[in-house]
Amino acid sequence: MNERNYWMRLRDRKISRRAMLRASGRAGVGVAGLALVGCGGDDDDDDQPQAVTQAQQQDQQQQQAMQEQQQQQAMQQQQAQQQASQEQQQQQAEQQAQQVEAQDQTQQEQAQQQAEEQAAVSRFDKTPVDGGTIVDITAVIFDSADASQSVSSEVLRVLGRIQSKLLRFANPDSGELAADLASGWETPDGQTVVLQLREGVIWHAEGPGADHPASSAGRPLTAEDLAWNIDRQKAGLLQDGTEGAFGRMGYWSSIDSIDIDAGAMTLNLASPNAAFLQGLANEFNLMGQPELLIAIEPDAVNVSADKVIGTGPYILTEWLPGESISAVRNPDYHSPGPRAHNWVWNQSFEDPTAYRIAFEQKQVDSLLTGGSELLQSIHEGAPDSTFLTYKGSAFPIAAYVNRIFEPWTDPRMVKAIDLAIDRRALIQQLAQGLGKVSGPVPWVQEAWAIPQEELADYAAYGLDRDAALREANELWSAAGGAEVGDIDWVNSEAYEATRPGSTEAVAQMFNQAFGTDQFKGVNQTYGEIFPAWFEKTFTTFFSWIPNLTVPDGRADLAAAFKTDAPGNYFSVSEPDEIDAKLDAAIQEFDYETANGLVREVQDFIIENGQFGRHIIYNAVEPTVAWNYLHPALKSETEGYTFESESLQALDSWIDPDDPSIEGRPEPEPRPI
Amino acid sequence: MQQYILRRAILNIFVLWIVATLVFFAVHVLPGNFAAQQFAGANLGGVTPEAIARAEAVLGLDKPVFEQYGTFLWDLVQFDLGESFRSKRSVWHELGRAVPYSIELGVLIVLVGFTIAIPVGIISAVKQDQLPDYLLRGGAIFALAAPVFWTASIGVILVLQWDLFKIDVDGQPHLWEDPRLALQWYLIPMFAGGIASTATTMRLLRSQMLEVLREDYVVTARAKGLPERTIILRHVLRNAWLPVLTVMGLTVATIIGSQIVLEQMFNVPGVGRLLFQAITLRDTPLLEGLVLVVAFVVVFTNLFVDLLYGLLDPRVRLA
Amino acid sequence: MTPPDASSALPFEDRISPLARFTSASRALGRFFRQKRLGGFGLVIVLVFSVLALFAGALGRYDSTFVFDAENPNFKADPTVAELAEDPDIGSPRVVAQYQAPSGDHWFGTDRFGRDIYARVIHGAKLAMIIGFGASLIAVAAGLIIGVISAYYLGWIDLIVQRVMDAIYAFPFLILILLLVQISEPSTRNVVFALGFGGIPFAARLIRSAVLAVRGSEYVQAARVIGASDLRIMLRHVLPNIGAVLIITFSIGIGAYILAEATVSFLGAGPRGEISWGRMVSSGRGELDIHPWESVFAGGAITLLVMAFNLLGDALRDVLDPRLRGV
Repeated sequence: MNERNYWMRLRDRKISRRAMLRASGRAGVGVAGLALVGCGGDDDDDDQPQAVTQAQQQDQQQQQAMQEQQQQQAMQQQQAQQQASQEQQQQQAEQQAQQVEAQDQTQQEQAQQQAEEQAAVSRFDKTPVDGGTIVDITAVIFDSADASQSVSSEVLRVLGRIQSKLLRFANPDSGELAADLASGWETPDGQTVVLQLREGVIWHAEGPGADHPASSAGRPLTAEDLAWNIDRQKAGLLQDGTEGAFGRMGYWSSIDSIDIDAGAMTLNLASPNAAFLQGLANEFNLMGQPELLIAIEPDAVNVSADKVIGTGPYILTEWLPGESISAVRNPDYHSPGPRAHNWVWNQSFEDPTAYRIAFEQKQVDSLLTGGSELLQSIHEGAPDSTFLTYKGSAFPIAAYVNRIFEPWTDPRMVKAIDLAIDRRALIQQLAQGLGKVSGPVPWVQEAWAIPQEELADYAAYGLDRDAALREANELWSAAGGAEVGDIDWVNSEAYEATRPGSTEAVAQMFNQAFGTDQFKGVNQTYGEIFPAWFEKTFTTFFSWIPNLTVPDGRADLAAAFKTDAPGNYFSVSEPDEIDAKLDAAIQEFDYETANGLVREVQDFIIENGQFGRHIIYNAVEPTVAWNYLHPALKSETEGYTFESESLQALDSWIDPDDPSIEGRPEPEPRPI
Repeated sequence: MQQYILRRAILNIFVLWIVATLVFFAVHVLPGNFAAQQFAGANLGGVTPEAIARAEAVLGLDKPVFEQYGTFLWDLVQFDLGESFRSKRSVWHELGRAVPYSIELGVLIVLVGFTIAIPVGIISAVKQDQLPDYLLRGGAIFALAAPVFWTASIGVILVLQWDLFKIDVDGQPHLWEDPRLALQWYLIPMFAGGIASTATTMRLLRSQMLEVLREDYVVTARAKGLPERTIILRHVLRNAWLPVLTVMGLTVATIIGSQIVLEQMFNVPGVGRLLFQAITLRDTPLLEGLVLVVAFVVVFTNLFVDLLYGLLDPRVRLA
Repeated sequence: MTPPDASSALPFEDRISPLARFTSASRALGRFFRQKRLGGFGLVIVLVFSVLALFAGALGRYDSTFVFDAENPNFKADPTVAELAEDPDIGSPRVVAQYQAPSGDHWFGTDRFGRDIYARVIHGAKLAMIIGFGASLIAVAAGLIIGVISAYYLGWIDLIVQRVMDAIYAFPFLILILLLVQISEPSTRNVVFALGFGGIPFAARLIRSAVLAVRGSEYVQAARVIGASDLRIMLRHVLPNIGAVLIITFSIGIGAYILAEATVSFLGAGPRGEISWGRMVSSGRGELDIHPWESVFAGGAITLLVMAFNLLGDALRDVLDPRLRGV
């Protein structure tokens, strides 16, 4: 019965599958194009090639692990590309065969298809144009105007374009670094990072932040400014002596001391740290102006444009949450462009249909929520003027249980839950199939994650659900699961809002797995959920968890499982099996060895039912955008998984000559 | 009469005080506050209880509840509704931005509603239990029954393909600025809301007219041989109006209610959407201010309706 | 003013035997169906939904929460992002039977979680019935007490009571419900009470004006003159004369509360752990043009049931109001 329905469904999907074949054909072309261009993704930036070369020379000279890792990834990518192009050829062959056989595919359609492919290729090869305004979406509330004290990626959406970091990612997903405030970097040994500071960088000379009485407009950036930013976060203290909300305190604390001399800055680390360098490019590590940050400390949570000054390519002109946010070009920025001149942010749409209509009417330039099938159908509705991209999501979906409280004090219960989670069914129900299962290190951190095939060897991730459920039920009944009474399973309100019915479905998944009705879905806001994590008073949880910011998986794993780590809400204390191995992995510059250690830790974690931190999957998220928009992309069909605000700030542009721009209402940023 | 109005006005202020107290304590017992909600987009391990406590202190949420209540009332008597936690702008400013949109949409909904309801109600009453009555009542009852969010959803999908409908996210035009665009923008919510509000008015008008039709004076008028048209318009409609008027008063609140959903769905930056956002974000001053202003409108509309009732029907004495 | 059929006009008279009462009741019902076809239609639908709600388990065909799935012959253990984009099912050995169109197996199709929509619509009737009857009963009962006392005594009692009513009424209805529901957990019981509470001013207001009209009538004045007690006047003269209003209030109420619950659920704050038609509409809405079935059927069920209650109430009103009887 189900079999037949499944095939019926495939038949229903036929049209969209054909369209997808076209899309994947383009993907192949895109990958080939990338291979021709080489690895420099952002050649348009004057300073970049130099900085990247410099970095590579240093890396070669020192024969370090980061580079090996990159090479390896590059090789993997190449293999994947070859594979992809082979597959693409196959698909094209299939497609042609279909075209010959299928009566319904007319000449016209073929012509259209070819035209489409050509159009797509030329779109990707276009030279960037200076000017225009990009419309983006952001949240209605923000936690701080001080990036160092913010833990919200929505703040980055704004500040990432206004302020700069020491380094930035040339490719956030592979970890390839590029210059930012530091024009070059050296790591003479595992414990020392020498940064050459870029000359002639000045703080914004105009705009609301420059007009703030406490700020110094147009002042040159100094090494002392940067050292102050680092020392402040390291100490974690505000001017009044109280503790600030410095989310990267742990990261900066790995610096022992800072030496400043003539345009260079030396960071002396407390111990060798192979994951450190990437962290400088973490999107959260933006550098602010000390005098303004001190002045706004008392009420940094009340965000406004005059509380922000930076050295970045844009000047914030308005920051009224829920009303209007806009930024305009910084004429003094060290690398002039070409790029979009202005950004306007609209508050995110509560309603998916409103968002979609706004996109269709070009009120917003891209659409990223609403489900993959909807986005595909929108793209199919306007194949010549829109394009689809996919990216891995940096937000893992996870289920938590708290090992402090009954009944989760029993490790068998924790393991039973891990086994009962039907990860692949959830991917289909919640992400329409677009996602891959994630272990303790999610698959988006490819270099460190357990490969999918090997992950499938674990019962919880296995393909044999019946066996997993048998084991889960054995553990459940051995631990007396049926006698523990009702279990409230908390889902975040935000998740329920985007996936209506998910709360109930998750509770039902457990009920169905254990043949019970003890599991009840409950909703809470993150405002209730986060404090409960920190105070370790939470009981259960299902939803997105804090996102991953860098591709190096070691630090994230350590932050979640080391005994004293701030993110260890699970009271895990395994000095030998976890702490020692992760410390060793972080200090290890040889990728193979480090990866081996991380793998051992992951195996140990999975064997223990993930200690209640059940990672489920990371989605693959589609985005549909109008052709006139040129965002920074990994390839023609793939976007970046990790935060890439600085990259978007530098490399996004609007094509005024693209036919799709017809009918787009010109957004109006607030001028300086 | 003047004394009555004065007394009612004072009583209304008493009513508003009850509302203020209700909303104040209701929001304060809600789980989670704005300070905690601010960290809802958090994605790193930095949200500590201290950070939330500090944010609470900035917002004044750390003070004892009764102190906050006192401050709230004291500000209130000075017509100070405070600042929205989210935008840091005064609640009056937020209202100033939102109210025109809500009034626009509200007026359009009422216009659509009454344009349909009045003729339909009259025809239905005059042709009681005949085919037109059945059809019209059936239609009205269907409109009353269909959830506005459902009809609006389907309406959008149907209309989408003809490009009749617009959503504007940046600088939504008002009717007086760009009538055509504004109407396109209000098209679906206006009809969805209007049609839904039709039914109540139409049903009431019909039943009131039926009652009046049985009255002796109508029978007399018929006996006198007055034309049916005159009887309906002059005798029946005039006397059937009163309860409909009451409903009009009542509709103000209903429309504000249905506008919450419609504004939310169609991205109309009006009072309804602001109310909903205020409640989900726990933006206490904004929620309190908005509820009070809506309550103010409702109670004084009711007073107005009552006055009108007294003026039109001498049987009801205002004392 | 003597009604043509004394036995049904004075149902409280105990001189009528149970049998006579039964036959007169069935005769009234027959007359109701003959004269009020729309009302009869409404009654039938209400009865059908009541049966569906009561026997949802048997009539729903499937378990409303069961997730249907099937083997996936195309399964691939480690798909690339491009492969996933081409075939989102490829990463799973078993495929959830989601978003199926109506068929013999699934009369209304399946939802995004692979559950049978027909079964869910049928089970959703339970919540709608409980909400509708429960909330309306609370509102009318409380409104009756408040309305009668308020209108009968007038004076300062009326004054105070009406101010409190005004305050509740002046509160935007949905916001009131959202606040009440969010203060405690959003269970069915709490939603019923919240809706009932929110409906009190509406019911009390209608009932009060009905009582006011009766109060000014000659027979109440006459009863007063002959020295009848307040309670007697209320029970013998006021109550029977506002019966129609009560029924109308109650009947309009039911539909309105079902709608309100659907709206609250649509906004995401409805009762948890129950199948709510409102939430079904909202969960199917984002992709209404691709997978319309969940929204269409759930919204259709709301409309049909609310319409049935409204038709029934309308017809009952026409039949029960003495001045309109026999026309």
